[in-house]
Formats: sequence, C-alpha cells, structure tokens
Amino acid sequence: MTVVGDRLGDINIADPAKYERGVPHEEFHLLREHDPVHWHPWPDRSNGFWAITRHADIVTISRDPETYSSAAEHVLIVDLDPDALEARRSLIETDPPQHTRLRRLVSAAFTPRKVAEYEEATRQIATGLLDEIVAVGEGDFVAAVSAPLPINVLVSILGIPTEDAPFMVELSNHLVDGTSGVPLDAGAYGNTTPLTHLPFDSPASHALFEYGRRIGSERKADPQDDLLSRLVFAEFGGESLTDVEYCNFFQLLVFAGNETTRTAISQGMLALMENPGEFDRLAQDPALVPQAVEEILRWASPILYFRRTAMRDTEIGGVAIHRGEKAVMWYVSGNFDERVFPEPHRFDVGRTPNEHVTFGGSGPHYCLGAWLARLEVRVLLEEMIARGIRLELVDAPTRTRSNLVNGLQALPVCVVSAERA
Amino acid sequence: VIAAMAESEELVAVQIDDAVCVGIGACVAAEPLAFEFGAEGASRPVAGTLLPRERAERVCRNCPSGAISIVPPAT
Repeated sequence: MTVVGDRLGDINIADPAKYERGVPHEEFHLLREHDPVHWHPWPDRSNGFWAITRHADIVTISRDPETYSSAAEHVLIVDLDPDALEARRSLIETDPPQHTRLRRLVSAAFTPRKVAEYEEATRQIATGLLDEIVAVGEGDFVAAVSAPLPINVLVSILGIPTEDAPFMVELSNHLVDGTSGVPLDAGAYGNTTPLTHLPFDSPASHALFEYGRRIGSERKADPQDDLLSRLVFAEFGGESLTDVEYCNFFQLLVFAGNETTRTAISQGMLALMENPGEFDRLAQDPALVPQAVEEILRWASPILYFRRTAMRDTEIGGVAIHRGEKAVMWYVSGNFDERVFPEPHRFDVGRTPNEHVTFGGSGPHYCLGAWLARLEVRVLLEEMIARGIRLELVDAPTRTRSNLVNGLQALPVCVVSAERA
Repeated sequence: VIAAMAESEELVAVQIDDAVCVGIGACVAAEPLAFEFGAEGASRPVAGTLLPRERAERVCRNCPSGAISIVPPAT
C-alpha cells in the first residue's frame, strides 16, 4: 500500500497542461481503485478539493443539490469573492428554486420534440460542411466540421445572424484557457471590467456580454420567434431578467452550444479513425448509429468535471466531507469506471447499456442541450455513412490545454473515400 | 386513455413534482402518450393516463431530475 499511497500523493489531475498529452486515465484508474474520494491539493493542500472519480458517487452528488450546491460557490475549481460570484452567476451556478425558474425559460427550446424540428436544418448544415471537406480532400476536421456545425445550429435557435457565427466561435475559443492559443490582454475587446468579475476571467466574456446586450435590445424593439426574444421578454412575477442574469445566460448558451458538441464530434471522429473496424461495423449496420452516438458521448467526455460545494457536513463512500469543501465530479473518470462499463477503454459502437455521465450524473443540472448534441452527432454520422465518407488521420491531433474541456485544437485528416450522395 | 394494455399487468398513475421538473423531456420521449409538455417549460402527465407498473417504474428511474413518481394507491 505504501507504493500506491506514494503514487496517490503525487497524483495531479487538475493541471491543465497535463491534458495536452491526453486524459490522465492511469491516474483516474488509480483513484477509482484505491481512493475514489480523494483529497487533491489545488493549488496547495489547504485549499484542495475532493476528487470524486467513481460513477456511482457522481450520480449521488448530482441528485442531491440540497447537500451539494451549485450556487454557494462557483462550479469550476476557483475561489471567488461574493461580488465576483454574483457578477458571473449563470444558470449552472444556481440551485433550485432559482434554477428551476431560469431553466424553464429555455427548456421548451431544447425538448426532444422541439429538437426534432431542427433536424432538417442540421442536416443541411452538416452536408454543406461535408461537401466542402470532400471537395478539398483534406483539412483540419475541427475547423472544417466540428466547430462550424454546432455553432451554426445554435445561432439559428438563438436568433443570431449566421454571419456572426464565426465571431461567436472566436469569443468562445478565448473563454477556455488554452482553447484559442492566443492569450488575451485584459483590455481586449474594449474591456474595462475587472477580470475576476467575468466568466472564465476572460475579456472575451465582456465582448459576449456586449454583443448579447446589443442584439437583445434589437429583439426588444422587434421581437422574433427565437430564443433571444424569449429571454428578453421573460418575466417572473412581473420582473424581467436582470442585466447580469441576461448577460450570463447569453454567454452560457454560446459557450455550451459551441465548445461541447464540437469536442464530442472531434473526439468521436478521432475514435472512429483510430478504430476503423468500428467504423466498418457502423457503416454495415447503420441501425447502430444511436448506440454509436452514446458511445461517442461517453468516449469524448467533453466537459471533464463540474464542482459542487458541500452545504453541511456529510460523507460519501465513508469519507467525511465538511461543510464548505469542494466536491469535484470527474465525469471523464465516471465514464471509464470499470464498475459500470465492461472494458471501458474499448471503443464499442454497439455498447449497451451505456449510462454515461457526459450530460451530468442526472439531477436538475442535467445538460439542457443533451437532445441537441445527440441530434448533431447522429446526423453527422448518418450523412458520412450515406456518402461513404471515410477519413484518415494524417498527423497527430493537437489537444487543448484545459482541465475543463477535453477538446482538440486540430484534427488533420484526409478524405480516403467518398461517393456522391 | 390507457397507454398500453395487457390484461395481466398492473396499471398505475404517475405524477410529476412541478417544483422539481425542469422540462428535459425524457418522459415525453419515452412515453409520448402518457406525458406532455406544459406551457411553463415543464412536463406533465396526460390527464387520466395509466401505465403498466414496469414502464412507470422505468420512466421514474430515467427522469434525470427525479421529478416523477407513481401515485400511491388511495387508502
């Protein structure tokens, strides 16, 4: 045990640089086996967090927002002053009943029935992007397909002009440390707000707030049948969303709609190229597509973790958690938990059941965009199969330097076969 | 309306805790005859619909919010 104990003490799963080399699966495995509720120093021992790495414990915490709050502190591993926390508070940093109220404002746009209405538009966007990369014959799949597909679907739901989609991608890229590769000056985009008061400490959030305010006032003057109009006209007991609520909601929707499905698509495509036999299996039996979508979601784990804060002294798995301490749910570890997924490191497009925690371990914060993400990945797979599009990796992918997003910066591919649809 | 009928199966009614439901729609997707979306962004059971116990239990279990339960028999 001493050897294992020493290795556990050395574990660092929060270092963003580590993820540039890939998810540290060996460390997560050690934690799941030997210390599934592990005190993890960050940045030092006194200020650490509980690393929750088993699937069952992630589900338990997700379902108990009274004990494990999203609102008392931030959902990222940061300590914020109360005024900074308020300035940055979005839907995902609320608890019921405030959460329920805010969430229901937008839930109608993301139900399975409503999402089904976006299928045709999604298919058009996907086929357009695939046509382009097939015509060129090679390229960076992230820039060519993974990034533009989700953001173009999202801007049409929100009601943002299509020509502004690249600007939304640009700003969203800056939010995740390392996603853009371009460090921003504090005063970028004309920002004068202290960075601690902006989501992700990023001046790009200021730019998103400003853009959101401008387009929101346009909708206020000239309402449309879109989600933005719904947000600006929302009322609770006669009160509209405050400026802070509105801006953070807008920022969250753009970020979540851009970064997460992009990562699922990029990681899914990488997995299919690295496991060509699984792509063959899928192409021969397209009835497997829904299962393949779930396997891609499990495998990709686009959001690596979210954090909760204990509201009272409690325990999980026999380990005492004290009031105020951080409980960090490593979804990426839960998705590879041997207790739930036989042979977790085998990419299996037919995996059933597949109770992954990619959308969260259930509970009120279960991903709003879950059905939309499934639609986008499914349509892309269907169109690739229908056109016989097969890709090969031509160079190693570049991974994102982030402990939050399991992203790929670049996925250089060439098209090895394609038929006209 | 009875969503599905099998003579041997026990039929139960389901309820949604309106304070908990956030309108994810997993129930509507799984049992479209038994659940619908309300005007307030939440789901609700279709009035008078019953489900076989096994399917009702599954829909309760699969609700991400844990908002659905089987109506206890009147005592």
